[in-house]
Amino acid sequence: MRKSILATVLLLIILTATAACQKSGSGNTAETGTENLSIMPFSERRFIFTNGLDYSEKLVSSQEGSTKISKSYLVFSGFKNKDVEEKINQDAARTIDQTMEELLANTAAENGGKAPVPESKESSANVVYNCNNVLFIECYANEEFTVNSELVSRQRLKAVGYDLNTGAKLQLKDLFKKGSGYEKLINDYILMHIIENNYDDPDSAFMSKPFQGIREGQSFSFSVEGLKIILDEKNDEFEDLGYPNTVNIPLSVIGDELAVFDRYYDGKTNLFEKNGIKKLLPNLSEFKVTKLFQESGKNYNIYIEEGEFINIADAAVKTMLDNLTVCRIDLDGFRKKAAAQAAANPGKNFGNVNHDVSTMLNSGGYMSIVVSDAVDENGEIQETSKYINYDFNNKSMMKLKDIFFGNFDYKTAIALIINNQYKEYNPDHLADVSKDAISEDDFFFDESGLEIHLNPQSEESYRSFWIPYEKIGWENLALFGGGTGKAEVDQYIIAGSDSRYLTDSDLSALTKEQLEIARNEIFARHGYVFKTQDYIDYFNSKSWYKPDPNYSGNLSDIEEYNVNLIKKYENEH
Amino acid sequence: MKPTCCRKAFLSIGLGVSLMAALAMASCTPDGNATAKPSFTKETYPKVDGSTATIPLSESIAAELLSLTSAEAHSFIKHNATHNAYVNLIGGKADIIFVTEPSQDELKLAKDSGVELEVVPIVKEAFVFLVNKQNPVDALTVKQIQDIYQGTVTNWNQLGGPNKEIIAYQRPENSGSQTIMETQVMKGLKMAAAPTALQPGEMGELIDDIASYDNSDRAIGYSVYYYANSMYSKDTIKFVKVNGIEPNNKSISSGEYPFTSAYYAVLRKTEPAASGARKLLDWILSTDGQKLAEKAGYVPLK
Repeated sequence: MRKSILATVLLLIILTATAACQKSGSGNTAETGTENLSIMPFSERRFIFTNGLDYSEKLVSSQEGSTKISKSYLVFSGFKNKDVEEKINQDAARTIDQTMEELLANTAAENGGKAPVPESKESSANVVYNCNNVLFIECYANEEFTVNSELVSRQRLKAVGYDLNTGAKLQLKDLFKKGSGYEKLINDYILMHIIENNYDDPDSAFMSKPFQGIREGQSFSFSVEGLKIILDEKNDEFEDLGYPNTVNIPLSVIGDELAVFDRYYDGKTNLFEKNGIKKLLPNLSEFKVTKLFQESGKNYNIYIEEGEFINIADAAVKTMLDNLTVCRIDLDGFRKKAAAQAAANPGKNFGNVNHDVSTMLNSGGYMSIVVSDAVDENGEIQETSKYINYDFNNKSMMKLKDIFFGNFDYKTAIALIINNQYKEYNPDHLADVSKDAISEDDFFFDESGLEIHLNPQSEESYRSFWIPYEKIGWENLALFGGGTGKAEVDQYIIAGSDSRYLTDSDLSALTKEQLEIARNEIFARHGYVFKTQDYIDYFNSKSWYKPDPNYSGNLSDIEEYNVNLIKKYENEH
Repeated sequence: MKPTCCRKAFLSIGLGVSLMAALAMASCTPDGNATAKPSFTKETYPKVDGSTATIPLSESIAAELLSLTSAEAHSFIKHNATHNAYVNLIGGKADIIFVTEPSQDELKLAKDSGVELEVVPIVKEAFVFLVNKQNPVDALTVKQIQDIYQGTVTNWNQLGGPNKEIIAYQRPENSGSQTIMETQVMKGLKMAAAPTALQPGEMGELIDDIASYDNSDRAIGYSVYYYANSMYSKDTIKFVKVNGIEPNNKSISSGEYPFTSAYYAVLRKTEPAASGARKLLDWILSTDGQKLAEKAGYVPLK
C-alpha cells in the first residue's frame, strides 16, 4: 500500500537532478561507471509526468500488384531539441517498416522459403508509454494471404523505447536499477505464466522445449500497466503462433527494481515545448471478483458478483472495504415474490436481480469503486449505487471535498456545470440544481473527471453528471498531491503547502536553499511582491506566480504553521 | 483464454500393440557398442511426426544424421501433435512417430485400419509433484498423494507440515498432464473437484475455471519432468520425493522413481527390417543416439 508522500515526489526528483543530468550520452550511459541515482521506493510513488510532446498519425496507402498496403506512421513533434525529434521520427518509421519485413520473412521461413503473396499488408504503431522523458511505441504488422482458398492472417508485434534526452533506444536492463536481479524476477513470472496456461504439457501447442529464460536483447515493451515480454523467434522454445505471444508483468511485481522513472528525468529541465500533466500510477492493491452467483428460476434471474480487496496491508481497512461491497439485497424476499407470481401467473416473467462492483479508479493511492444493485420486479426497476472512495495515502474514506483544495467552492462550481449541462440538453428543465443537492458521498472519479450522482428531483431530472476536471480547473484539484495536475517541472518546491500541514517527510531531504524557496513559495501563491532580485527572478519564471501589490501578507492557519515549520528546518541547517 | 490440449496420453498399452522396449534395445546394441550412423538425405529420411514435447529430440536426430544446422533442422521437422501423428502413421503419411503412448481411440483406429503398431520406448519421462520451496514437506508416499487428490487429506499438518489447508491444484481436463495424473497416479481413483477461480473468458465475461498452481505455501501441483526439470526455478519450487525417491535423471532412468513413463517411437509392425524407419529407430536406441537424446534434455533409457 502506498504511503502518503504528497509532494515529496518532486523533492526527490529535484535531488536526483545532478545524477539525471549526467545521462545525456547514450541510453546506456547510466549502466557505465557508478550510477548515482536516487530512486523513490515504488510503494511511495503515486504519479509520474507525461511528456509534453505531440504526435499524429500519417497514413500511407498503396497497391503493389494484387497486394493492398496500408502503413500508419507516428509523427512526433514538440521537442525543444529538433535533432532528437528527427532521430526518433526516423527510427520509429523504420521500426514500423521493419516489423512488416520481419513478419514477411518469418512467413517465408514457415513456408519453406517461399512467401505466399499477401492480399493485404497493414502496419501501424501505438504510443503505449509517454512519461518521464521515456517513450515506448508498439508496432503491429498484419498480413493476410490465401492458403487452400482460406484466408490466413499473421501478425507481428515489435516495440521500441527511447530515452527522449538523446533519442537513444532503451534495452531491457535500462528500465531497472543497476545490479538489479530483474532477470530472475521476470523468468520466475514467465514460469508461472507457463504453468498457468498449461504450456508445460506433453502435447503443448505453445512450447516444444523447456523455458530457457529471457535472452540477451529480449524483446519487450513498457507502460504503466507493466512490462510486456514479447516472445519472438529469439525465444525459440515457444512455438510461432502467427500472432504476438506476450507475457504481461504488472508494475507491482517489478516496481521495486525499476529505475526508468528517475533515470531519464531530472524534474528540472523540460525537454518539450509544452508541459505535460501528472499521471497517477496504478495501486498495488485492487478489488478482485472472487464469487459469482448466478441463479435462474422459472421466472427470474439473479446475478451477484462479490469479491475482496487484495494487497491491503491494514487488515481492518481491508475488512471495512470488503464489507462495503457485499450484496445486501433481500434475495429470499425476491424469490418468495417470484414464486408467488409463478403460482398465480405461470407464464409471466417476474424480474431480475443484479449486484456488481466496478472499479472506476485504482491509482495514485486512490480507489474509486461503484457498487451497483438493480432489482427489477415486473418492470419496476429499483437501482441503487454505493460509492466507495478511499484514499490509501491518508487511510480514510474520501468525501467530495477531498478532491479539491480547501479554499475552493467546489459545490457552486459543480452546480454551475450541472445546470449548464441541463440547459444544453433540456432547456425546459424545471429547476436548477442547488449546490446543497450535491452530496459529499455520491460520486466516483478517475484521472480525467468525476461523476456526481443526484437523487432525482423529478421524473425528468437526470441522475448522473460527468464533470471533467478541465471544466472545474486543474488548479483547484488537490487530487494529484496538490498542484495543478500539470507537470510541476518549473512549478512548486512543495505543491500543496497551502492546503495541508507539512511533515518531516516533506522537509527532511531539502537543502537550505530549497527550504528558503519553499517558505517564500507560500507567500508567492498570494502574489507577494518580492524585493530580493533572486526571488523576483525565481518566481517570475513560474507560470502560476501573479504578483499582487495589494497582498497584505496574511496567511491561513495551515500556511502559518508550514512557514514556521520550514523556518525551524532552515535553522537546523 | 486458456489454451487446453485435448489429449488422452500415457494410457496403458492395449490390444494390438507389441511392446519392444528391452528387446529392441538388446537387439540393436547387443554389447553396448555404437550402431553405425545410418546414411540419409533429406529425400530418403523417413517421414517423421510426433508430439510437441519430442520436437527437440526429433530435430536433434535430424540435425545429427543429415548434418543440418539447428535452424535447418527446425524447418525440416514438423510434428503435428500426438493424435495427428498416430493418424498419419496409421494412414501411411508418416513412417515413424515420436509420441506418448497410444490412447484407446488410437488403438481402436489402428485395429479398425488393420494396422498393428510397434511401440518402442526411446527416452524416459516422469511425472513430478511441485510444492513451494518453503514448504517443510519434502516427501510424500503414492498413497498420500492419492489421498490429497481424493480430498481425504486436506491439511499439511496431516503430512508433517504446518497447520495449513492443502490447495491441490489440477490441470485442465483432457490435457496431457491431467490424463497422466488420472491414469498413472490416481489409477482410476476419483479425484476431488479441482480448485477453481473466476477468470476472464473469451468474451470478457467471468467464468469459473480450473485454478492454476500458484506456488503459495499451501499449494501442490504437478507437471512432466521434461519441462519441469530444466525450467523451474530451484529457489522457489521444489520437486516432492515420492516413496522417498527424488525424481532425477538417475532415478527416472533406473525406474526407481514411481511415476516413470517414456516417450515412444511408434511404427507399423510391417515396416521392413531394412527400412529407413527401422534404421532410424536402431540408431536412436544406440549409445550414440541415447547420448544425443540426453544432450537434448531427455532422460536416456539407461
